[in-house]
Amino acid sequence: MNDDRVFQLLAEINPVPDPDGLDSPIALADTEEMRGAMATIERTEREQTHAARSEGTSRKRGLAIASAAAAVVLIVGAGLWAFTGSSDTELASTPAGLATTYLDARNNNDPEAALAVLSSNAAFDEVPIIADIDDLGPRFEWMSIRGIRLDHTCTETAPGTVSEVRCTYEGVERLNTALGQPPLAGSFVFRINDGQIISVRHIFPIEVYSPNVFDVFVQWLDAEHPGAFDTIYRVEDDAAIGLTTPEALDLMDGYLEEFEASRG
Amino acid sequence: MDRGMSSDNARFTRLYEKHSRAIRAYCLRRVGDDGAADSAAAVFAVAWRRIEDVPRGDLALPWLYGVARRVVSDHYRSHHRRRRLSERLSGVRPPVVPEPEWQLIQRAEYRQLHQALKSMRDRDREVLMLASWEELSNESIGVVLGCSTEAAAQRLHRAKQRLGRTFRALQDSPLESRADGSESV
Repeated sequence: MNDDRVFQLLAEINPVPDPDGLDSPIALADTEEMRGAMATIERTEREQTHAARSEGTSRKRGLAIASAAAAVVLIVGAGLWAFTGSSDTELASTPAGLATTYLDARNNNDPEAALAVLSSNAAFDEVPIIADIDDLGPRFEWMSIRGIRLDHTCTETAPGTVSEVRCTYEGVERLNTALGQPPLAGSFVFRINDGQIISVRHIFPIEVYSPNVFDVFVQWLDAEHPGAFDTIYRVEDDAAIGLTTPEALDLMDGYLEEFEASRG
Repeated sequence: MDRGMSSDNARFTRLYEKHSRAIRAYCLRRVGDDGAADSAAAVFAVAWRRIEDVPRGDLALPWLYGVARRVVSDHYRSHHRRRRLSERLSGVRPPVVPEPEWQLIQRAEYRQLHQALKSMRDRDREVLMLASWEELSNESIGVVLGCSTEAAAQRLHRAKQRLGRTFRALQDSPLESRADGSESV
């Protein structure tokens, strides 16, 4: 069976082939509940906007509006839908919660979620290198292709106006897994001020990783695809930095797949 | 109520009426009955909060799918965390919950295809499902995944190749008939 036929077959196992057959949504504008809920949202937004201006807590405002909007959808769903999140919201606003959000976003290739907890001039000392906040999206994509996933635990180690959070992790990535190496282990140190992460420092045992994992991959790459290194890396201060152009990402993905296959 | 807010309300209402079924279907396909409703609600909560960012016209639905993708990802993560916590507390493995589409997997090749799909990396699986189940164009897939149309086309092409290879390998495997019993753990 060729690739196209397999893809056609995929449509046949669509668990919801006919969305139009789902329950009819209530016509929002025609319901008393919707009008009432909209009025509640508008009132909430006005109040929260005022509070945000006077207290500088725009983040809380957004969350309150989100909760109110969830309430609308709850009503629309005629009580069938439940929206939770208050406890998560409270947790996420703590320094450890903000650090956790950043690392979760890193795991999930979700730069938007990371940007929501980062100061606009946050400083990075990250491995792999993130020079500034504009690099976040492409670098997260690069990490996603590398299959980097960190199982992390964050603790606030120094409370204060500028608090410090340390997160330790064990993690996997495709090269490391292909070579049967033990999980990666390292830590992050975050500095947090006024509900935003102002710096990210990644402490990673590169002296262990490089000879046991990265160098092995590079040797394989040089042998199998001479010259390919320069299409996916640039060297800066003796460090190899993965390129993040769409072409380089696609090449990297292909080489990784081949490397994995070569390792059985 | 000022005019801007009223206009936003009307737009959100239209957005919901037009796309709620598609978003519910997206969530059902990925998280099943247990969680699809919450996920769909969360998608529209984001749409309400960011109504000014929602593109007009044909790109509104892909934008909503992009939000849904992140919401579903959060769902998986919290579900995984709860499960890990439950495992630690109880010292036993949690029961396996059959996924909704499992009921449909009756033909052998459907079962093999389902198995192949589950074994793929998240990014490959998502691009395949967006193209096949949500029937999106490459342009719309690019909006959902935050990449160019060309990159989306490339990703889809490669994912189709990988799915085909994995599916054929499963068909050739003598262990296939036993594999589906333990695969969903």
